[in-house]
Amino acid sequence: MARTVIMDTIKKDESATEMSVDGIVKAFAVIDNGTTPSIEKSLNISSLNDIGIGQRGLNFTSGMNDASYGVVGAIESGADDIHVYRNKTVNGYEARIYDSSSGVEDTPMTTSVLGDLA
Amino acid sequence: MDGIDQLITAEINALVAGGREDVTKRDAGKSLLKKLKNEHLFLRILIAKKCFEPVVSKYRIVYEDPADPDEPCRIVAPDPNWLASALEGGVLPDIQPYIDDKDTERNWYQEMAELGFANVNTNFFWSAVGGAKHPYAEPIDPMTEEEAIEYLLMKDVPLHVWRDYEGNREIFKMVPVEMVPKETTFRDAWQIKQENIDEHITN
Repeated sequence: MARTVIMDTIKKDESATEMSVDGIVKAFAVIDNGTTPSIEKSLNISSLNDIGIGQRGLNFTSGMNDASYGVVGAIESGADDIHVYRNKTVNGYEARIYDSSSGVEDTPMTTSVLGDLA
Repeated sequence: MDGIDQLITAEINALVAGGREDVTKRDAGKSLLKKLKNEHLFLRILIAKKCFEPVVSKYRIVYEDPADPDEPCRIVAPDPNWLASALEGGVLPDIQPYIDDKDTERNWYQEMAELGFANVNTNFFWSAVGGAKHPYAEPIDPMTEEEAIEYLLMKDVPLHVWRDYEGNREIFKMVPVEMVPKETTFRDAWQIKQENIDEHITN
C-alpha cells in the first residue's frame, strides 16, 4: 500500500525524459551566515558555493530538466534587503542578497525550487 | 505521515518480521535503497534525507575561475545531507554520468553558439537531447569523506577549472575548513596563495 502511494506520486514520464513529481518542492536550502557560510537544512542540494559577499551558489544533486524553474527566496533581516537569483542552469543557480543602501551583503537566507527534474 | 515515511515504516516492519531486532531508520533506509537502486535519484535522496543523519564536512574546496579572473576565489561547502548520502552509499550515482551530462550540456551550448542563435543560455533542456544520464545511473558504494570531496570537486566545480585548465596557476584546492579565513573584510579580493608553485619553480 505504501509503495503504491510512492509510485503514484513519483514516476518517469514515458512521453518525455523529465521526472514528474507533482506538488512538491524539488530543492531547498536554509543557509546560515556564520564566519563561513553553511547549509543548515536542505533537500537535493550537493553543495553551497560561497562566491563573495552576499553571493551564494547552490548545486543540485539531481538536476532539473531545464532552467525554466521557479526560485523562491527569502532573507532573515533587513527591511531594505531583497533576494534575487541569476545564472540559472539545470545544475544549480546563484542567489544574491542586495541591501538598497549598501549593495550586496551577507545575511541568512532560505531558498527553494519548483519545476521538473531531469 | 507522507509516502516516504510510509515506505520506511513498512520496511522497518518487514525487517522485524524477518527476524531482525532493534531495526533503526538507518537500517530501513539502507535496505530500501538497495531495492530502489534502479529508481530515480530524487526518490533515493528523499529516503536518505529521512534515514541518515546529516554530516558536517571538515573540508572545503577553494577554486578560482579562469573565465572570471577578476572575481575572488569561490569556496564550496558540501551539503550535510549530501555528505551523509556519500558516506552511507547506495544513493549517489558514479561520477562519470555527471561528467558526461556536463559535457553534453556544454557541447549543446557550443553548437547553438556556432549556429548563431542569440540568448541560448536559458534554452537547454534535457528532454530535447535524450535525457540526462545521472538520474537513473546505478548508485555506488560508500565513500570516505576525502573521496566524497574529490567526487564533489568533479561534480560541482566547472570542467574548465579542474579538468581542462592548462595554465600554470594553482586554481583549486581541497582544504580543511580551518584554513578558510574567518575574517571576511576583504572577502571580495581573496585568491588562492601560489606559494607552493613559486617554491617549486624556484627550486
